[in-house]
Amino acid sequence: MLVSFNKKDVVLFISLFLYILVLMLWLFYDNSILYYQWLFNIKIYNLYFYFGIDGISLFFIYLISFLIPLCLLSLYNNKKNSTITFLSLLGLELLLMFVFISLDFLLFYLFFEIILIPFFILIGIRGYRKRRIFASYLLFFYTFVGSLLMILSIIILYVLNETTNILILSFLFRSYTDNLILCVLLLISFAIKIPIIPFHIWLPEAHVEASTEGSVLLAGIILKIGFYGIIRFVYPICADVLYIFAPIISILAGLSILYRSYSTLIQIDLKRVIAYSSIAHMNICILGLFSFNVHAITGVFIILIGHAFIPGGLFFVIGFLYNRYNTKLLKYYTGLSMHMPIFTYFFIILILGNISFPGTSNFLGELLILVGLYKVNLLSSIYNVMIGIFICTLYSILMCNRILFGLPNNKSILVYKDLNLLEILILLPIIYHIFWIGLFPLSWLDIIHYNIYYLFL
Amino acid sequence: MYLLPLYFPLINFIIYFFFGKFFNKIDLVCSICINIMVNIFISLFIFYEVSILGSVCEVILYTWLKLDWLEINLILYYDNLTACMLVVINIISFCAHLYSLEYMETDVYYRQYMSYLSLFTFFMLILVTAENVLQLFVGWEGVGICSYLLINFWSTRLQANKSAILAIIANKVGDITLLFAIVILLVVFKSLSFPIIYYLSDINLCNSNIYTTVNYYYYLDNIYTFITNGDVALELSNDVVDGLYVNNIKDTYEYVNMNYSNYTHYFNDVYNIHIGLLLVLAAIGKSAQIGLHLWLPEAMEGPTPVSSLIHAATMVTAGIFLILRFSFLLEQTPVILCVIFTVGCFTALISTCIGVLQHDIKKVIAYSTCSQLAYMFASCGVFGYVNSFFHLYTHAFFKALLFLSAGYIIHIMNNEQDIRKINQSLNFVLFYNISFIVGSLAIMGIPFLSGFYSKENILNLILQLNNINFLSYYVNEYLYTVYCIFNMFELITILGTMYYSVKIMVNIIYKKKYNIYFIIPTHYSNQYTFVSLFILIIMSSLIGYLTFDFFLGIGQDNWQYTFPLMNYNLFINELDTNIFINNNWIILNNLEIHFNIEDFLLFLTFVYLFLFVYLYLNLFQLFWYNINIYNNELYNLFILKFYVYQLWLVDLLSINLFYNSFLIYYKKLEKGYFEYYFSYNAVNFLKKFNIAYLKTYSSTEYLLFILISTLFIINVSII
Repeated sequence: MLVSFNKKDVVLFISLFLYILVLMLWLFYDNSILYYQWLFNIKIYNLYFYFGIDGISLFFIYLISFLIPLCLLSLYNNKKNSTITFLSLLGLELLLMFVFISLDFLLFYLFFEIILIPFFILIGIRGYRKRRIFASYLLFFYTFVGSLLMILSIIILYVLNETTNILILSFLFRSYTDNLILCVLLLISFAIKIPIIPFHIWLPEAHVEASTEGSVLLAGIILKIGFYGIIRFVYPICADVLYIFAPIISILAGLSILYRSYSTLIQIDLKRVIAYSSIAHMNICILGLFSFNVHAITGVFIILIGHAFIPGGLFFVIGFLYNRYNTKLLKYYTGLSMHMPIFTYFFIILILGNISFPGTSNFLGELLILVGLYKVNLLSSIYNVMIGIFICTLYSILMCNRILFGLPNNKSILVYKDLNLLEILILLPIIYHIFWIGLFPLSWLDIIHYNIYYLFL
Repeated sequence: MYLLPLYFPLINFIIYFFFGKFFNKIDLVCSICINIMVNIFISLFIFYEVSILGSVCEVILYTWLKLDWLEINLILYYDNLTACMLVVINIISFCAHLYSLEYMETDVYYRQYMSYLSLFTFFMLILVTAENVLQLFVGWEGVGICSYLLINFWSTRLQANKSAILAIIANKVGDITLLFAIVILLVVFKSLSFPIIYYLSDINLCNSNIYTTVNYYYYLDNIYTFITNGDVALELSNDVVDGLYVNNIKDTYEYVNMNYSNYTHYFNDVYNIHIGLLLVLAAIGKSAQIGLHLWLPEAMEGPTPVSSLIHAATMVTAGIFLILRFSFLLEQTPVILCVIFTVGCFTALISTCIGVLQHDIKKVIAYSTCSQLAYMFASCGVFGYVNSFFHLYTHAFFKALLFLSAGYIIHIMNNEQDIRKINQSLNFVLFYNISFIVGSLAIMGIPFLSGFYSKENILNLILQLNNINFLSYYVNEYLYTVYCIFNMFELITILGTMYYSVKIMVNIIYKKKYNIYFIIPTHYSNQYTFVSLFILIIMSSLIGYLTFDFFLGIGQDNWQYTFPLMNYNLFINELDTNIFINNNWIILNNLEIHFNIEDFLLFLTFVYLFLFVYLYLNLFQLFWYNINIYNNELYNLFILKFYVYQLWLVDLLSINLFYNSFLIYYKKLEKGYFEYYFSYNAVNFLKKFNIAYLKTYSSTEYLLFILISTLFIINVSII
């Protein structure tokens, strides 16, 4: 052959092939069926483990298969450590797929735990500073505490019902107090993943210390496992007691929004600003999720999907800046619009997505969440969301203004280099998706519509 | 045909933004001229078809969202209001584009600037042609973003950055209130389109008019589908359909018919005040009224054509447009109208008081814009919707003229904006001074120029109010005297407008003795600016006379099909029982009413006028002779803008916000309690167990092991 492939090319082709497979999956997915599709089981030592897909998990699989090739592309010209990270990213992709297609609580837990290891490596090896060790330990142990609670609840479930299959568990009887205990354990373990207010320390650290692709995957997919867990497991298992915890979770989420928004105003690290804003958006989603309303939950899904693209794109852009100038601090960047126009346009479009400009995905999600909250009369939550949106505009615009406009600083930056073709090719599909969801949402909504109704049946 | 006005600005934007590099300048000039000229002709054609021939047009694009009961279609809607706005926007956009060709010719980022200008026009057209509030919101936000980019166009200047940030934040307050209003509208009316909200918000709904009943049953169909869904069935069963078991469509119709009026009353009482206040707040944010008025004068940091297009003619009138569109909803609650009127009057007073003492030529014009917008606001508060719109129409032309000619004078004077330093310019740029003088005379309301027709009508409106019997529902005697006192603010504003207009004219025309700045003219014009200014001179001197009868003439029926401005109740009910009446009623029913004005009111007016002339003269004297001017409290109050900017915005709000968010939220909570109790202690606790640090090589081996084992398990299971 004339063209010679190296290891990177092989990995990239595999991930692209997976993306095409997932697109086929979407093509052949039947919108009109309420139940799981393509069910199959495997038998290990007389235990049957079920796998299957519904609209909710289809989206997460799509996100994974979409983001991983982009991450691989962004690493393509990087010579340091690249084969190991390439392989770990591919492994991460496969494992994350398993997280979202397994219909068994035990298998979910297993893969949920295993993805910590490649992530530990991504942050620990590929990070920038010495503090990365601290950050990776924080990530590991915070999630580990949650996992302990989850395995405890799985044991309780198995003792009570003698199965961990989610298809059966929702129809079996458990006593009220048992469900109460299960609900508390599961909610705490997933709240650490989202994260809600007392358990949130690990996320900014991990975001700041991780490399670009680590941050993208963290914001794009890992945060959503918490939501996926709540919807797939907590909703059916603890359906009768979940409403008891709705007020306290709403209060905590509202407080997290205010707290995160205010403390973002004075951050000087670019990645930290975006990490904090992503926590604020996640907490808006939590408010929607615990209003138990169809519109709000649809809005939650729209934000979750869009949230993979908007902060993901911002992390990519900041990664490109870091590759050039080796700093993420605000004060070294001024007046980039003078010399880097293409970078400026991409950054402005992504910032518009972040401040929920109508026509982008975040706007649709926030509108639906607000409608749902007003429908169930949660006025205080609405005010929290409003304040969150307003302050999001404030810090986004301040950051945008500091970086892009103003007099160019010739002391810290000597050579300007605009985005090259590869970087533009990474950002273009992301922006295409943001506007696709914002302008023509029906193709996305059709798939999850019936599954959300199914939650309330 | 009806889609084309949206396409042309977008095509302009795409050509300039993406392909501007590949063309030379003459091609771009040709393209922009042709595109926007064609756009003007199309809008004139639409004006002819819609306003004059009276055929309202809808263009259905596609379904944006369909979820349960929530269905939002994107539709372009052309009625009289939209058609008139289209003409204004396209003509002024054409003038601004043409003017910028010469004005921005030496700028490096010339193509970027032109693309932003076209994008702004596109978003403004989306705002105007919206059929539902959501489309309006798209335009509303997009216009704000374009204004941010254009104010910040000379982005290396710190002042430009500051004012752009202030502008977008003040706009965002309005945006968020509008978003909240949209949410409430969606939940209450289950729809966002103006026609449906109009027919649902009406109390006396189903009567003989065909158009009404058709829409009524259309909505009933929707209600039937709601009931079949579980979500709304609950609500209906609580409020209306008490214990109802729905068998077929007929049953539903009967039940809803029976209980419908109660349901609408429920809407009116509870929600209208909330929605109305939120909408008015949004309009205040966009139209720079009192409270959020600071951003408009600061926005003068942008290029002058931008000020003429965005901050005088189109974007700031979006707030008025919103109120006009929602007038049917706002006039159902008297409180909201009262709020609109008082906001308008106080803004007029305050902006005049500040504007009188300003020296920056663009800021003076910006404050006059503020006060003119206040006129429109105030006349909306007393049912003068058409008067308000007519003033919007004429004001756009003469204010654009003022800005453009002022921009040219600034260019000649080597970018000097201080009117004390501008002089002697009449000798060599006669045409531009003449255009400035025409604009000034028009804004002063000198008879037979366009400002005279529109302004006079607004000021007459409040004096007529007492004579209309059926307005007693809204305004009782006490409130009426308060209204009259507020109206004096508007009269004072006329004096102020006169004062600063004359001041600028005198400064431009006459030679001064004590001139220490001798400024050499640096710039001469070409035909582009001449054409654009010539169009605007003709418009601002003649448009009031020509179109007065079209808008406010007696017996004109062109507002008949603009449902938000027109109430069908008028034809249905008798006069006495009807409370929904507005000024258009008089026009529509061929009534020529000459009102009496009470002697007491006239007396009060004169007293106020003399008082204020006295005050202003005193101030002027102080100013003129330099006597103790900095110890004068009134002077300090005006020159420091009522202490709002420095004391409230900077000292209290921003500094407190940033310091508190650092000290409390970040230092005390994030780095203090949370980190100490949750991570630091936990790590210390774990360190006691002496966990071995993972090596990098071993960890990759673990990963490989896991991969192989999972593949193995799957393999085994399949076999």
